[in-house]
Amino acid sequence: MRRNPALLIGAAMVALVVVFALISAVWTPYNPTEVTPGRLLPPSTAHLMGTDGFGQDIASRVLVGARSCLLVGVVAVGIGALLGVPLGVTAAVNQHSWLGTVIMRATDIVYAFPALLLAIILAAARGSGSTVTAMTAIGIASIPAFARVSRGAALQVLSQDYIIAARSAGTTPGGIAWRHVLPNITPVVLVQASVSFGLAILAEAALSYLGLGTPPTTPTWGRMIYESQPYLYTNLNLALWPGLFIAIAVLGFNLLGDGLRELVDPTLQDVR
Amino acid sequence: MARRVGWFALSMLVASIVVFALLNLLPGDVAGVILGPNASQQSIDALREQLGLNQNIVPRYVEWLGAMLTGDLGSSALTGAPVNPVVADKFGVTLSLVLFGMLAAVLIALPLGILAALRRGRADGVLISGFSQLGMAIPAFVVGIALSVVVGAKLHWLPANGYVPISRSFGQWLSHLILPALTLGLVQSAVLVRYVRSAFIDVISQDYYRTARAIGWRRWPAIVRHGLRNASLQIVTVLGLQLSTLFVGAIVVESVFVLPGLGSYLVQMVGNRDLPVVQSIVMILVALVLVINLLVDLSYTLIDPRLRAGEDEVDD
Repeated sequence: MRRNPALLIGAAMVALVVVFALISAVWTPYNPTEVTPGRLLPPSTAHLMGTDGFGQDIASRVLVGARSCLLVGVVAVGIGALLGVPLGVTAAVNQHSWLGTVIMRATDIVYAFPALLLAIILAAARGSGSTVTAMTAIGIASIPAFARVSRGAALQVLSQDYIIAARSAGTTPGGIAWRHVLPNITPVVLVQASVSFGLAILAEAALSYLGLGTPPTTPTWGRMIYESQPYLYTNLNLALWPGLFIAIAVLGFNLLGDGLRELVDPTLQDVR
Repeated sequence: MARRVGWFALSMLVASIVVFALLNLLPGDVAGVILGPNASQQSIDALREQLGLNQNIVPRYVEWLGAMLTGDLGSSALTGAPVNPVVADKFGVTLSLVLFGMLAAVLIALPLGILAALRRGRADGVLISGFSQLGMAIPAFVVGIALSVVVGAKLHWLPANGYVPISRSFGQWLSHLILPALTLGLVQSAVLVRYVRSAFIDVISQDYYRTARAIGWRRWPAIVRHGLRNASLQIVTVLGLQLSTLFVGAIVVESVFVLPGLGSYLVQMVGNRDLPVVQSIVMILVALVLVINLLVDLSYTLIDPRLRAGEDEVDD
């Protein structure tokens, strides 16, 4: 632990975002969606980060934005892991049959639909963007990464002696996957989850920035930057605050992933 | 190799079905989406008829696929104008942005990555790793906005946004592309630096590098003369794979800098609800990603003959 600064710093940054989200659930300095006459105020003790073009308190919106950021990450990573890991393990167990090949080729095709592009397609088909379409698209786009990582890890587990022992003791392939493979690949999946979380936050922010993410009533960090565009040349801080917190959240999850990787496999320390 | 091309053709076919199905089968009526929530049932019916939406979906898909295969991208649902000339124009803008972006990424990542490999564990090496982490965490559009406002609008060193065709003025064209390309390149270089660093850590631990140093080559000449060529194989592969990321990244960067490229056009058409145009552009972008992946795959086997033998085993 002491020699793993990435894990500590990453965990601290993620914790900051989580604390923001929790605080915003019970308290914000102002109503984050209340339009007031005090437009574009500079940071002061009354408004720590100033106010935006609608006179809304930026600090309150940043706090609430942490909630959407975590929500999008949890749902997207959940979709990616819940579908990707079983697919990857199934492909590993059926490595030499057509099933394994078909699964991996199918994930290759999904790989050709980057999160942003898939979300744009869904937004176009539904007529407008929404949080649900954004989360679904980002989640589906992260399936291949989970499938590949868990397939690789599962293949490694399957080559171990205790698997041969379990097999000769009559354990079914399903039983082996559930009882031996899944528990042993969990650390690797956790690392991928952390990395995918960061990517999901970035993808959602880009979508909101393009106006294809969450609807205007929900404050998200990407949406705040989108709405700051008319005032950028005079009030850059409108975009800087949400930009700063997107970076903190993504950096936090990336460092957490690096730190976890080091923890899981100390021999990898140099491969950064 | 024939097998790879076969898989590629199958992937393209499946991808086209997915694109078509997503835009035509999801709940929500295409005509209704195009006309918006306030349209009358009568005008929706008329548009359905005009777009051929009352036909069975399978013949419609086959017709679209056939047209795409002959290079006919269809026409706009709103204006009826053919899409081809517009796309050709905009693709040029996107391509120049992507190529300059890649150039910027290499120019930034190569020296930084080599330096990080040489100075591993020391303060400046750690600093470069920090740059890489930051670059991966800051969204491209935030970098773009900052560059546009500070370098463009405040300092007036370069145009803050907009585009001038190369046919009108080469200098103007170039100057309008620098900041967008730098934005795209900075974000990409953050990822690339890590690969360059690990490729050169490999090089430094090789015998030929140690020999070169032992017979009196200085560090940088030895790196350039012996290391660059050996590391380039790994780096070129990563660059190839990053190319498709750059095309997707261009969607956002074009929107920040108001460049009339394929990406900003796609976003605009989604806003206009011009679904036939969206469908064709999305298919072009997906096809691009698949083609790039195929080329990277094929170049592997061309560059390294060892990979040719056990084609089945190199899937990872």
